[in-house]
Amino acid sequence: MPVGAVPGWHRAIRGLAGAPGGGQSLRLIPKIDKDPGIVAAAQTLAGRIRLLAAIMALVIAFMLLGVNDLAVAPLAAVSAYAGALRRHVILLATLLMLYAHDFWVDAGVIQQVIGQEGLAQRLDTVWLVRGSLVLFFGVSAGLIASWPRLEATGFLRRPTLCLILAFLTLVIAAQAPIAAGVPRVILWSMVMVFQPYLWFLAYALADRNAQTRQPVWRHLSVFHPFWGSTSTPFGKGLAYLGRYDAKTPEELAVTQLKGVKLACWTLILLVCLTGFSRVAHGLLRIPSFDQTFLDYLGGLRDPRYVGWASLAAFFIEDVLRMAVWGGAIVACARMAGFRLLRNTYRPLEARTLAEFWNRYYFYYKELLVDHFFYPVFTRCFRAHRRLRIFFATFMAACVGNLMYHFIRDIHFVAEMGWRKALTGEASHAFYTLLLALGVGLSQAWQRPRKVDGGWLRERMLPGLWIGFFFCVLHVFDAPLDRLHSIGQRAQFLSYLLGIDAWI
Amino acid sequence: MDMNTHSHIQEFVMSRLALHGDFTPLADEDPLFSSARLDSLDAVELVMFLESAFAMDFARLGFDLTRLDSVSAIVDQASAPSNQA
Repeated sequence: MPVGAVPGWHRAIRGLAGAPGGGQSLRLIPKIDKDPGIVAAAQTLAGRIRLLAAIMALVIAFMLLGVNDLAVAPLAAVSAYAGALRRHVILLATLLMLYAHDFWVDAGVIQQVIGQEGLAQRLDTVWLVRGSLVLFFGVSAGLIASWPRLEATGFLRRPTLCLILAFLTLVIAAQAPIAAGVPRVILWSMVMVFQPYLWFLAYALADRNAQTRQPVWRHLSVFHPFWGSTSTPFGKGLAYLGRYDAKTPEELAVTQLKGVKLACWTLILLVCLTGFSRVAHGLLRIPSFDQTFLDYLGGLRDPRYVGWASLAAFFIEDVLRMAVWGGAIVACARMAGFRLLRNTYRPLEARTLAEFWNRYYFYYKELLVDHFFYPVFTRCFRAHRRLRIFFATFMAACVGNLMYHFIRDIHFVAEMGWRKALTGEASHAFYTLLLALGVGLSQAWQRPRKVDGGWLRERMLPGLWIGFFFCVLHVFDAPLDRLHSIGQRAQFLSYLLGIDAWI
Repeated sequence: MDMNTHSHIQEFVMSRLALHGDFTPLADEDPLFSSARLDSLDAVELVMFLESAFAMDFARLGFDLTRLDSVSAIVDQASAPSNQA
C-alpha cells in the first residue's frame, strides 16, 4: 500500500464528521478525490475493496429511504476494474439490465392494440417484442456501420431528422386504416421498440463522424447503458463518453471517488427531499399540486394560498427529485469510470431562465442543444446575432421539446387515436411555447454578471423570478396527460392569480 | 501552426474563461468543454467568433464540439483551408 494511504482514509472519515484535520472541516463532504493518499489507496486492491464497501453502504442507505437508483453502483465499480475486457463487461452489464427491464419496451401498449384488433387469441406479445427487438438492433447495427456511406449520398445528411421522420412514418403507417389487423399490431410493436432507443441511435449516428471510429457493438453497448438512463441518454454517445473515460488507474481512482462523493451528496439531498415531503404533506397538510388542480376542477376550491403552497412545494420537490435521480445515475457512471458532468448542478445559483434550464436537467438540455439548437444555429439567420440565438433556442426549447415528448408519449396515439392525442397535446405545446419564449429571450438578451451587484439584486430577485416563472409554467404541464384542456389550466391559473372573479 | 491564428484564438478563449472568473493558466491541450471550463453558451460565441474571424462555415462542416475542445484543436480547425467558406 502506498505511503500515506491509510492516513488518507482516516482523514476522509474525520472530514465527514467535520472534525479538525479532515481537510476543510466546514465541508459537508470532504474532497476525497483531491487527497493524494486516498487517490493512491483507491488504486490498490485493499483500497478498492474499501471503496466497494463504501459503495455498498451507500446503496443500503438509499434502499432504506426507498430508492433503488444506486443499486447498480457495485456492478459499475467492478466493471471498471475489468481492464482490457472492460468494454465487453459494459456490453454484458447493459444487456443484463435491459433484460431485467424488459428492454424498456412498454408491452402494455402492444397488448392493448392486440385487444383493439381482436387478435388476443392469435398473437403473442412476447414473441412480437422479441422479433421487433432483433429487427431493430439489426437495422441499427447496419445503419451505424454504413452511415458514412449513406450520408455521403447527401439525402441522409441529417441523422436526427431522418430518424424522427422514420419514426413518424412508422406511426402513421400503424394508424392507417389499411394496416388494420395483424399489420397494425406488428407496426405498433416496431414503434414501441424503436421509441426508447431513438435518441441513443441519433447520438450513435452523429458519432460516426467523430475522429475516432468505434466498432458497432460498442455503440450498441451504451443504448440505455447499465448505469441508468431514460429516453434521454445520460452520457450521450460513445464520442462523448470517450472524452470522460478514465484512461489511467489514477484517473479511474479519482473518477470513482468523485462518484462516491456525488452519491453522498445525493443521499443528503434524498434525506432533505424525504424530510421536506413529510413536513409539507404530512405536518402542514399541503396537498399535492395535481390534487389541488383536480379538486379545483371538481368544484372543491381550496383557499388560494393552499394552491400556491402546493405549487411551491411541487417546485422544490421536483428540483430535489431531479437532483437525486440524476445524481444517482451520474454517480453510477462515475463508478464505472466515466467522469460525467452532474445532471443537476446548483440550480438555485442560476440568474437567468436559460441558466436554470441548463443547471436543472443537463442531459436533456444537451439532447435538445445537440439535435435541434446547433443544426438550426449553424444554418439560419447567420447575419443577425440575437435573432439567430433566439430562433435556435426557440427551435430547441419549443419544437424539439415538443417533439421529444410527443415521441416519448406515443402510446397516446395508439390509445386515443390521432385526433385526441394531438388536441390533447395543446396544453403541453403552450407550455413549450412559453418556456421557449422565456429561455430564448433570456439567452439572446443575456447581460454580463455584475460582481458587485449585491446579494438581493444578483441572487435573491433573479431566483424568485425563476421560481415564479417555472411554477406558473407548471400549471400547463401537470398532470402530464391528454385529458385536461388548456382552458381548464388557464382557469386554474386565473384562480391562483386571483383574477378569476374578473373573467 | 500560425502564431497569429493561435494568439487570436487563445485571446478569445481566455476572455471567455475570464467571464466565468476562471483565471487559471491555460495550456494549448487543456480540455475546455469536456472539463466544463466553458459551457454551451461559450460554444455559441466560439462558433460566431470562428465564422467572423476565420470565415469558417459550420453549416457545411457540421458542428462537432469534440473538434473544438482545446486551443490547439480550435487552431487546427481554423487553419485547415478546407474548413473555410
